Order: sequence, then structure tokens, then C-alpha cells
Amino acid sequence: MNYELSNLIIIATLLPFGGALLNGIFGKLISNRLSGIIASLTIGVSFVLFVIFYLYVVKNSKVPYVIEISNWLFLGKFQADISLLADRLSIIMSLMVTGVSALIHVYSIGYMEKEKGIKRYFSYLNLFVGFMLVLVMAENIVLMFVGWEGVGLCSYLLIGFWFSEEEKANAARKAFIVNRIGDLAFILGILLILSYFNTASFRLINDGAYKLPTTIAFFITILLFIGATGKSAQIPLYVWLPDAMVGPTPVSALIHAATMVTAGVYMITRLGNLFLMSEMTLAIIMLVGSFTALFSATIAITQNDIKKVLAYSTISQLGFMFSAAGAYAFSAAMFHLVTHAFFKAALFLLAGSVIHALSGEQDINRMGGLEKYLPHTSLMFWLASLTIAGIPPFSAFFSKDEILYKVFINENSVVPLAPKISYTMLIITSFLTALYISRLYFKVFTGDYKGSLKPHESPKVMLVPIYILTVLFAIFGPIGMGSGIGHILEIPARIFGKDLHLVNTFERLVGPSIASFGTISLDVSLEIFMIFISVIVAFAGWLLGRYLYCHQPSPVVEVINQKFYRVQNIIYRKYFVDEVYDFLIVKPYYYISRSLFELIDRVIIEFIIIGFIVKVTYITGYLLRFFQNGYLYKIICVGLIGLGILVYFMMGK
Amino acid sequence: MELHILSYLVFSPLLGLLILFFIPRDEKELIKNIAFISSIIPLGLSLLLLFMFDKTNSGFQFETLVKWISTLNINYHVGVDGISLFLILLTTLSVPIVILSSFKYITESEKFYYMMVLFLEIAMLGTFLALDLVLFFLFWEAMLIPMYFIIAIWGGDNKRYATFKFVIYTSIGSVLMLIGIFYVGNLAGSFSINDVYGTVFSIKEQLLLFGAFFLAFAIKVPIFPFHTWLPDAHVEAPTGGSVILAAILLKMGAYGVIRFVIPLFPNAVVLLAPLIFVLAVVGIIYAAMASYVQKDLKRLVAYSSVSHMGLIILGLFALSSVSISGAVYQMISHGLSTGSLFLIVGILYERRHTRLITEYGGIASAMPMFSVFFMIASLTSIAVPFTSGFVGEFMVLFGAYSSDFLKNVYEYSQIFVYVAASGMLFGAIYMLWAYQKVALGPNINLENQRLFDLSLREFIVLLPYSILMIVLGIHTEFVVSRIMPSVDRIIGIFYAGLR
Amino acid sequence: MIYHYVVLSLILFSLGLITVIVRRNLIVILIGIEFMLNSVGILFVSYARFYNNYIGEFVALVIMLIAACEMAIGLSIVVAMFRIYGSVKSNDIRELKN
Repeated sequence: MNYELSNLIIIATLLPFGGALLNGIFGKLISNRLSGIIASLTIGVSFVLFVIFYLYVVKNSKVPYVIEISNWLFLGKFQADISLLADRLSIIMSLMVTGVSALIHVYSIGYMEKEKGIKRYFSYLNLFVGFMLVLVMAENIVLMFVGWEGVGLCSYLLIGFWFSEEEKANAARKAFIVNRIGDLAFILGILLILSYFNTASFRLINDGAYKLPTTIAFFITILLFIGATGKSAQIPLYVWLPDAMVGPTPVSALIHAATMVTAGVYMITRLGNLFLMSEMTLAIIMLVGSFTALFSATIAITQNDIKKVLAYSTISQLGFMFSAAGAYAFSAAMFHLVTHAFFKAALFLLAGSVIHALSGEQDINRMGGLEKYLPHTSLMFWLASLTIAGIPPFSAFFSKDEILYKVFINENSVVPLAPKISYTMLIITSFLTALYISRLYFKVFTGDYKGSLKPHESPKVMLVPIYILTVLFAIFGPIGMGSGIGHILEIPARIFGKDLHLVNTFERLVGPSIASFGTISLDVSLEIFMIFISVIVAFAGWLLGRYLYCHQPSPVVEVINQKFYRVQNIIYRKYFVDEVYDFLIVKPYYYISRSLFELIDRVIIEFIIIGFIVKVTYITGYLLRFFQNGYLYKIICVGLIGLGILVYFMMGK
Repeated sequence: MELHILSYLVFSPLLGLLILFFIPRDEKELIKNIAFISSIIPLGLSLLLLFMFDKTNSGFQFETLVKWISTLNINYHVGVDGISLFLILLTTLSVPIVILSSFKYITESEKFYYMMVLFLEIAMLGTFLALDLVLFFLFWEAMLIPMYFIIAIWGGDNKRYATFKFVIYTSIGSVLMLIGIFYVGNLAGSFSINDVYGTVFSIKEQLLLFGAFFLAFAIKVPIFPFHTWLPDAHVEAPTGGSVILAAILLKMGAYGVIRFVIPLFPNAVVLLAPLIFVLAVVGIIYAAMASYVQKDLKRLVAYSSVSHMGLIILGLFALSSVSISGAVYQMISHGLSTGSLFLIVGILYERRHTRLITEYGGIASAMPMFSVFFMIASLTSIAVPFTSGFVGEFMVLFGAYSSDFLKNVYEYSQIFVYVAASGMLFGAIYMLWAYQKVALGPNINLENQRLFDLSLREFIVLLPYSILMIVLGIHTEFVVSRIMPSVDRIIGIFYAGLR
Repeated sequence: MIYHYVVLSLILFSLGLITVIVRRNLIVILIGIEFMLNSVGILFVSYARFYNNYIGEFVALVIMLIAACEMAIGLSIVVAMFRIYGSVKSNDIRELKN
């Protein structure tokens, strides 16, 4: 293919690393603002390059391009090289990553203005984008693992950005180690893949997947999925994400909402053919995803920290994506991934704006009435909340609906009930989503202001990126419009005698790059019916939230608080999952280590074995000492006797 | 034309040694400078060797053979192949770093110290290059002398105990190996490695000889449960001694395994491989867990060495081309990362005179540059991708997993690989814990607040290792393409000898 | 003929050995060692005559040379010991105590 254009991709992928180096090494020489501008520019240029590549190459071609940069690992019969795979899936994902990153970089210039280590911050942030692009663009699974661990590392560095507080350092370490548990499973999965396929390349793996025996496929995919639960914060490895909120808010927006946490979904989509080989895994993915969605949505309702609410909401939305992936609706999962990236990044940035306005306050009980002080923020927050609640015509309505429908019509031969259970959980989650987000919105922006500081609207450098994101999440929906909605919209057109062909553009776009399981027969009337259900649910949730929290303090809330105090407390304490993990894993690990070390090193080896040898040597020496008492004549006599014995034996021969 | 570059290389530190000998002991600055400059010479020679090295040749290159004790057929025989090449480079790189890092740490009898370091360099280079069993043993034992003095004179409070333990442990192994060497040489009629490789031993002989050789190497590596000398030696040794110990001396054992044990006693390897796998895997997990509960930073790093070396042993005995190459790669990487970590502990110790982890905290705010180097070394140690640690570890794991030999040992032996892989997780647990306790968190201790960041000398000391860790994580072809042919040759000899 | 010389050297050697074992004075012990060395020298010379091989005489000369050196060093050690321990009795100088 076009040589220059392939260079574009290489440059686009490496640019963030360059920015990281520049900020990391020469950071001392440049001003804070310049540092931010450099960082934003590298990502921006990278984004533009991806756009160019998309427009000139990918849009017109269904063939994936492989761009080799350098060879890397030699694994006997094959290699894992540093090469990039540019197909529609990876380019769209890269567009999303670089686009959202660029906006968040710009936002960070304003948000992090007064911080001391801003160059370090931008250096890490650039590094993160670089690794994320490696993850997305990787041609083979080992290189993907590089990005996979790399983003985890950057997440570690950024969560612990304010490292001088013990709590933040702990959260960072927790994130890394929980991720490592997933990564361990992931790397075992990679080992299995490599030894069964004798290749690391995604294309060859997907091409050869149909030959795989079901049990092997199950083991491989379940290991990969455990890896995904680590990175994408699903049960049981989700615990790091809420803690990760101690990092700077733009980081939460970028890493813990828009990009890194979606890596698991992306990986499953990338290896779609492989996952299709094991229906058991798909059922597990679907159930785990939807259960996670429900589980974390319940927690989100009770949380009072604005960022924690959004964190649990992220986990919940990721659950939606996994459910879609489990229903092999990879296109729907990807579409929700993209829309989620837009609205969740926006929500986080808005939360950041609120926190910025209140000089660091995160407790929503001490906010309220901010509508008056922060008009821009509040408007956009309202739009974003409506979006995440699934209210038409915003993007999440389209993407969530697609997922719900695909999950409902899914058929799983191994666990037949899975899709229906999953659907039920997801529809409840939809309701809860609307509820917790309206609670958040109304508690923060309506009612009376309870703080003491006077809030101030954020500067333009922070607001403009959010505006762009707002536009994106508001209008992006119809691109991925499901056929049911298309059908509804065609009705008025038909009245005017026009024939609209509304199709799912997004699905057609990524279709060539992702796995599909034959054509799914679409039942339009069923889909329309389900759209109504979900819209009703969304409105119900939103209105309930409005009723309960708009004119606070609402008497109903008080009653609920009193009656369900215990339940609420359990949920508020996150079902004590952290405590259980601490009790079952963290503490025992330490004590087992400690006692093993004391037992084996100190007692068995040092004391018993070595001690025994020492004792034997000592006793022998003690006995022999009587022959060596320093009297010259005795020594000579012993020597003579020895000589005599020697001579005797020599004569004897 | 015969090239004697290897002989020049081995004995080039002698030059500095002689010059140092004639310098009065009070000329401290001069001694330091001469020691450093003279240690650059071997580095230059080894770089020259690297350029002249022919990567298409899997056998020994630049062989030099001089008759020595002809009645016993013992010769001065040196040569280099892909496996030893990079260990040589690691050695010649480490010695200048060690000398530079000791400028402030060593404050008494500097002259003797630097002479000992240079002497140690001769012995280490000789061990890697010797192709004659007796010569190998000679250099092997010669390493003990300077190491003994380095720990015994400039060591910490408990140095007598540590030295004693170190010497006793290593000499027990050496004595057995000496007997083994004589037996092998007697049977082969020569001590030269090329003759020895072709010799056939009976199964019984192989088992006994395997025991004799392997015990020596196992102690040196060290393999669980022979590891207890290592933490003590590391803790008591001065920084320079620890770095050499970790970066190079530990590799001697693994190098001995790949050079002698695997090609010479294939049947014994087949019979005893399961046992070694168990020991290696137990070592990986156990040492990682033990690291987590250490209070002394240096001891923590020492235990992490044991854990990493377990992985290397697993890779060596998995006997696939990828796994052994990965093990050699990991040897280099471990030398870089652990060497770095010891340098880092040394820098902290020079400032605060304590190694207790609880004494530190929040160093990163006082010493940002230092923390970056600490981070890089920690990340390499826990095998984060794009560091050399990942390349080595992944190659070992994949090589072992896909190894036919491993599969043939018994049906479920791939479980070893699963367990070994979890070392990656346990490694992260203790390493990040240590990093956090030292570098992150609030900086409350007044003494820690007054710490100053790296001086230029310390920066130069840490830089080469750190750069190499990252470069070798991305660009692996240069190293692997030179290691692999030689590894394949060793495996070929192994299978040829298998009955 | 050689018989007499061998017996002579044997007697000399035994005398030297008994001196070394029995006596405590270091100087006397040194004299005993000298006795033993010279007995060996006699043996060499006599055998050299017997076999008509002059190498034995050379060896005897070497032995005398070594004996002289040894005596010089030995005496100086004894002097040094006297300085340190204040005695030349072997029983007083026991660092390897029981």
C-alpha cells in the first residue's frame, strides 16, 4: 500500500511517546503552559494523522493493513514483531482514543495549572496515550500485551500522581496489582494461544480459530476474559477502579472512563472469532457483564463522592459492553464503547469542573444549587446525564438500546437462560442508571448551595473541550442506529412519500474488521417494542430521581433512609467487598509469607539443616582437638605414627 | 592469523592492578581515577569483541590454545560464543560502574579495594571464557578470594558471619565440582571442552557427576534451598560487592549449567529435570513471598534475585531453544535490574546509613531523579513490557510452555510454567510495596527531607544500566540473534548425547 | 661395605629424631633437625660412592646448602620467639592449646 501513508500511522503512534520523552527529559527547561501545549499538540497531531489515514485509506478499503516497524521477540518458529494493524476497528478506536485524549490534554492545561509536577503529569499522560495506541494498533497479541501492561503502568503512575499522600499511593499500587492478577491470566492465555496457533498475529489467530477444540477454546478465552476483567474493572477484579478516583480528575476521565478500561472490550472484539468458539465463555462474559452492571449501579446510587458515583457508573456501563460482547454483538459493544467514551469523559470533565469550582470539594452533600454559579457546566452536565440515562435522541439511547436488543435475541446453546437473565439485569440497570445519574445531577446542581466557598465557572480552556465532547455525544447516536429505530423514523418519511434507507452506519463501518456469527434475523416489531420499554424505564428512573432529589431534602428520602438503613449501609460500604478481599487474600498472603519465611529460611534451613551440619563439624573438631594440643613432641609422634602406617602399606604392596 | 583478543581481554585489568600496586596508598584520588580508567580498557576490548563477533558462527570463536600442563593435558584454552559474549559485556560494563559507585562508599584502604575489584574482573572474565575444565575451575575459585576480602573488609556489622557462610557454601560446591572435573578429564583424556563434549558417560556416572557439578552451580545460582547464604552476603557486602555479586557472580552458576551440565550429562538431566523444575518453581514463589516480608531493603532485593534465578533455571532446564535463549536474556536483564537496585540501595545507604524500609518514605519528593531510576529498575524487575525483563521472562515462559522436552517429562509438567508465571504477580506485589514504602507517601522523617538528589557521578553510575534495560526491552534482535545459534548448538549436543 | 654407612646414618637420624621429640629447648631441637639432615647427606654421599654416580654428591651439597639456610632462618625465628615469649622452651609456646 501507499508507503507514505503507512509512515503516517507509525508517526501517529509514536508521537505520544515523543511528547512523553520531551516533557520527561526537557521538562525543566520549559514553562508549565508550554509543557501542556506540547503534550496536547502531539496528541492533536496524532489525531489529525489518524483522520487523514482514515479518510484516504481505511474508508475506501476493507482490507486490513499491516505496518511493520521492527522485529521484536523471537519465539522459535515465529516472531512477535512490533508491527501495527490498521483496519477499521483499530483506526476507529484510535480516532476515539486520540480525539478524546487531545481534548482531555487541553482540559488538563487548565485543570492542572497550579500543580507542581505538571510536566511529569503531561509526560505520563502522553506516555499513556502512546501505550494505548500500541494496545489498539497492535498487530499481534504479544504487542497488545505491551500496551495492555503499559497503560496499566501509566494508570499506576497517574493515580499515584500526588504520591506524597499514602492513600493515593496505596490506590495506585492496588490498581497495578489487581491489574496484574488479570494480566497474569492474560499472559497465560497468550501462552496457550501461541502454542496452539504457532503465531501471535491477530489475523492468523482469527483465521485459524475455527480449528480449535472447544475445551481449549474455553480455557483460552476464559483466561483472556479474566485478563479483561482486570483491566476493564469487572467482577471480581473491579475493586481497583473506585479507589483509582483519587487520581487527578482528567486522568479519571481519560484512563478510568474513556480509554484504558475499555481495553478489555476491545480485546474481545479484536479476537472475536476466537471467543465465538466457546459459547460457555460467551455466556460467562454476558452474565458477569450484566451482573457487574447491576451490582455497581446499586452502589452508585448510594455513593456521595461525585467521582465515586461516576466510577461505579463506569463499571456498570462497561458491564453493558461486556454483555454485548457476550452476545457476540461486537459492533454494538464497540459502539457503546465509543459513545460511552464521549459522554463519560464529558461527565468526568464536568465533575472536574465542579471540583475545580469548589476548590477540591467532592462530597455531593456539600454541593447543590450550582446551576446558578456554573451555567455552562450545569447545562452540559444535564445533557450528559440525559444521555447516560438513555433518553432519546442522545447517543447512549441508541447504543444501549442496541445492546439490550442484541442481548435479548441472543441464543446461547450452553447456558440457554443466560441471555434472558442478562437482559433482565440490564433493564433493571437501565432504570438504576437513570436514577443514580439524576440523583447526582439534582443533588449537585439544584436546590440550595451548602458550601461556604463561592464557586467560580471554569476557564475556557476547560470548557471548550467539554463542549466538543457534548456535541459529540449528543449527535453521535444516529450513526449506530439500530434497525428498529430506523424503522420508526422511516414512518414519517413514508408519509411524505420518501424512502429513507436508514442503516446502522457504524456496524457497516466496523463490520469488515470484526467477527460475526452469520446474520441475525431481525424482528423489527420486537425491537420497536423493546425500545419503548427501555425509553419508559429511562424516563421512569430519571423522573423518580427528580422527584426524590430535586427539592431536597425530600421527605421520601428521609423515610427510605430510616427504613432501609441497614441495606443502605451495606450498599454504601460497597457490599464489604474490599474488606472481604482484605480478609481473604491480602492479609493471609502477608501472614503466609511471613510464617513460610520464618519456618523455611529461619527454622528448617538455617536452624535444623545448617545447624545440624555445623554441630557435626563442631563435634568432630572437638574430638580431633585432643591430638592437636600444641606440644611439639606429640605432633611429631602422631606424624611419625602416620608415616609408619604409610610406609607399612607401601611395603606391603 | 590468530587473534589473542580474548587473552588480552581477560588479563587487561592486570595493567591497572600493577599500576595501582606501585601507587602509594595515600594518593586516594589518583587511585580512584586509575582504577576507573583501567577498568574502561576491558570494556573497550569487549566492545571490540562484540564488533568482531561473527553471529553466523554458533561455535567458539577467537579460540586461543596454549599448552600448559601437557602431561595431564591441561591447557590454557579460551574462546567465546554467543552465550558468554553478553555475559562478558555485562561484566566489563559492571566493573567500571562498580568502581565509580564506590568512590564515596569505600573510605578506607581504597588501594586494596580497587585492586581486589580488578582482580575479581580477571577471574570473572576468565570463568566465562575458559574452555578448559581446570582453567575454568581455577578462575572459578579465584573469584572467591577477592569477594572474600571485599565482604570481609568493607562489609557491614555482621560481615564475619556473612563471609564465613559465603565461603563455606561456595567451597563445598567447588570441592565436589573439582572431583567431578578430575573424573570427567580422566575419562575424556583431556580437560578441553571440545573433547569433553564428545565423551560418553554411563548413566550412573552421569548421575554422580551431575550431582557434583550441579550442586556447585546450584549453590552459586542459588537455587532454593541453597539460597540462604545470598541474603546475608548481599546485606553485608558493600554496594560494589553486592552489585558484582548480583549482576555477575550469580550468573556463573547458570552459565555453568548451560555450558557443562546440560551438554555433558543429558541422561541425568532427563532423569532429574522434574526435581529441578520443582525446586525452581518453589524458589520462584517462595523467594517472592519471602521478599514481601523483609524489613531490610537490600535483603528484599536479594530474595528477589533468588526468585528471578529460579525462573532462569526453569528456562534452562526446559531445554527449548527459546527458553534457554530467554534464560540467557533474563540473566542479562536480571544483572541490569538487580545491579541497578543494589546501586540504588547503596545510594540511599550512603545518605542515611540505614537500609530499613520503615526508615524511608516519600523520598520521591526529595530525590525525584533518583526515584525515576528506582522506578525503571523496579519495573524491569517485575517484567513490565518494553523493559528487558519482560523479553527474558516471556521468552522463558513461552519457551518452557511450548518445549517438547518439558511436555515429555511428564504429562502435566506445563503446570510448572503456570506457577512460574505467577512469579510475575508476586514480584509486582513486593517490588511495588517496597517502592511505595521508600519513594512514595508523605515525607515525614526530617532526615529524609534533607536528602539531596543524585550527584553527577551517581547519575552516570545509574544511567547505563537504565538505558540498557529499556533498549534491550525494545530491540532484542541484536542480542537474541547472537545467543540463539549457540544455544541451538548446546541443545544439539544435548540431544546427541542422549541415550 | 655400604652397610656401615647406612647404619651410621640411621644412628645419626635416630639420634636427631629422638632429640627433636624429647628435648624442649628449641635450639637443641634445631640441632636435632641438623643431625637428621646430615644423616641423609651421609647416606647420599655413600650411595654415590657405591654406585659411582656423582649426582648423589651434588644432592648432599644441596642439602648442606639448605641446612645452612634453614639454620639461619630457624635461629632467627628462635630469637624472635625469645623476644616475644621470653623463652625458648617449646612447651611454653603453645598457641594451639587444648
